[in-house]
Amino acid sequence: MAAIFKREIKMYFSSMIGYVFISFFVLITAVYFSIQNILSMSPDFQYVFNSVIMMFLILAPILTMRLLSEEKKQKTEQMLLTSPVSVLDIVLGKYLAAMTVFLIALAITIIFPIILSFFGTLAVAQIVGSYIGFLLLGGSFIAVGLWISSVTDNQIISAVATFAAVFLLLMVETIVRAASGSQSFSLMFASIIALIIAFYFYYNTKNTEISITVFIVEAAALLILYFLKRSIFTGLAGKFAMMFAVLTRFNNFAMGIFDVSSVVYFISFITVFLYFTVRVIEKRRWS
Amino acid sequence: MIEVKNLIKNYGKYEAVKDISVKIETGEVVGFLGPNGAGKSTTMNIITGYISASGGEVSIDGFDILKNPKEAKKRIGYLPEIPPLYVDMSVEEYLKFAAELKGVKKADIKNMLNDIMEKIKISHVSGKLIKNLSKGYRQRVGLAQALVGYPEALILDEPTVGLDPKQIIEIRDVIKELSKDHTIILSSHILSEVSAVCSRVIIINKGKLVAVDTPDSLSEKLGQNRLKVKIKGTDENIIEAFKDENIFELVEKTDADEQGVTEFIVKGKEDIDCREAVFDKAVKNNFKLLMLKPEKMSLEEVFLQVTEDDNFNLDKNDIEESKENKCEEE
Repeated sequence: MAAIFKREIKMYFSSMIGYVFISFFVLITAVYFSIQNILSMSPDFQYVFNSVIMMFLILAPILTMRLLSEEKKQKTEQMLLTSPVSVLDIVLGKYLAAMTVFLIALAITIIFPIILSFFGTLAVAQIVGSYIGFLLLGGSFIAVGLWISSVTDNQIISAVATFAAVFLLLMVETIVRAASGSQSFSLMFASIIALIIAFYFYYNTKNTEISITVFIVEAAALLILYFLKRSIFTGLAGKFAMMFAVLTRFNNFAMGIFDVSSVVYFISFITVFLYFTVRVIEKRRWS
Repeated sequence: MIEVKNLIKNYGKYEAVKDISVKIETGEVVGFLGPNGAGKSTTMNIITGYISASGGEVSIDGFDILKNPKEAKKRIGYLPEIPPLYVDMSVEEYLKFAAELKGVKKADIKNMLNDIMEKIKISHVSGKLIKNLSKGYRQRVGLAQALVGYPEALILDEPTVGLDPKQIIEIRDVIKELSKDHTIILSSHILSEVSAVCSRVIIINKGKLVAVDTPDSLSEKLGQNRLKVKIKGTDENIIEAFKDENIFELVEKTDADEQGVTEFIVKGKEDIDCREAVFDKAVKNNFKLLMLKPEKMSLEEVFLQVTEDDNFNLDKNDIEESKENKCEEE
């Protein structure tokens, strides 16, 4: 794992990517810092992060787009996979390298609250909370980006898909608030999930009959539930989608609440996507 | 050293590798031959643990590649068909990464890399970025990468493909040098290469094992019942006299290297001793027999014969067994 981590770090800084990422991140933070703190004479640095979050749309793909897709394209993954290291080591090495670059950028921005501390009283709890929340939030987006880059061998596709994924994750709450509530909407949503499960079966077994049977059973179960106990469906889609509402979790931290359940949430989120990444690579070797 | 048992690989319904079993002893240099798409690369990818098989087992030095991948992979160096190079790194950086990846002790890395670069003759380009190297040098760097960690076995997938003749000879010399203290599996469709370096040849076709033997005995076995004959005189009738379908499968005139001599190759039918038959014919027709020599097939001819014939199987025991089975069934 150490070898892969070291190589990735070297790659970030021998190509432009590392420098571009760090300077872009610090620049954006500095702009918001100037507008929200200096020009409007406010000591509330934690709100700067709320504005910077949107920049993950671009920042996450910059860090992750080539991590695994490039290995596949250049056939260098053949070297990694035939070496005495496990797939988990490879994935972790890459993830930690991306996280390190992110951490370096984040560490530089500590300058801003330090500057502020000379001129006023800081809300220390909120700022520390924001940093922890921001780190976990960034870690989640990087994990998603890493997973996406393992699926394709094209950097551009990887970047665009990561952009879309981060966008969806940021928008979940807004979308849910606009669309949930109606029971028929939830039924439709549940049917789509059922369909996805059936497709997943087909993808893994390549057996049409099993997949169709699975879908019919699911659909029947859903219909029976819908007619017998309709209340279950109230807000079902919303509840499910809110599982991905990373922003809601982040807001707790920004308010200065150190919420253990949110920490656990983010860590599980990251673990799940790293696990997916390992599975994607393993799966390709088996098929 | 390397043991492959009943290896099967399916891609959906397509069978890329069908039940291959081979045992390779320590110190052997084995050539892996087959036309394009025969399943050479697939087999090598399975042996090295890059992809996994649909069935069967691979063990390296007693370690199963799936159950004990770390130990097994430590013992093999692999040069895939396309060398897995990070083109943005310099040669030395890249080899150092390979050493760290393979878990070489930090203190040993420097000496090991110097030794390997010396062996492969890339010391003078060690500081260059890989993307600025020519194809021949890239191939060498790939080979150097396989050597890092001094694995006991080397698996080389078409190491000379796409190189110019001079580079081919150079790489071949390097491989010969390496064969002194390594077990090597080498795939190729260049037959002269295989006969030059390998002590044993494995021929596969359409995912099936068709022949395993030394290059010499392979050509001898297939050349069975083929004779080169020289007879004094240049009469047209000489060839005609030998064209007897009951005895000879094939009578083919070849260019004579002496004047006043007819030269040709005959191939006898399966249960006829060709030498006697030729002698008898010569006596009967009062020909002066000047030469009677068993004709060996070149590896090229062996290869073509073996791969063109779908049902070909060199292992006579197998054929006899299947005949017996048929009899029993009847």
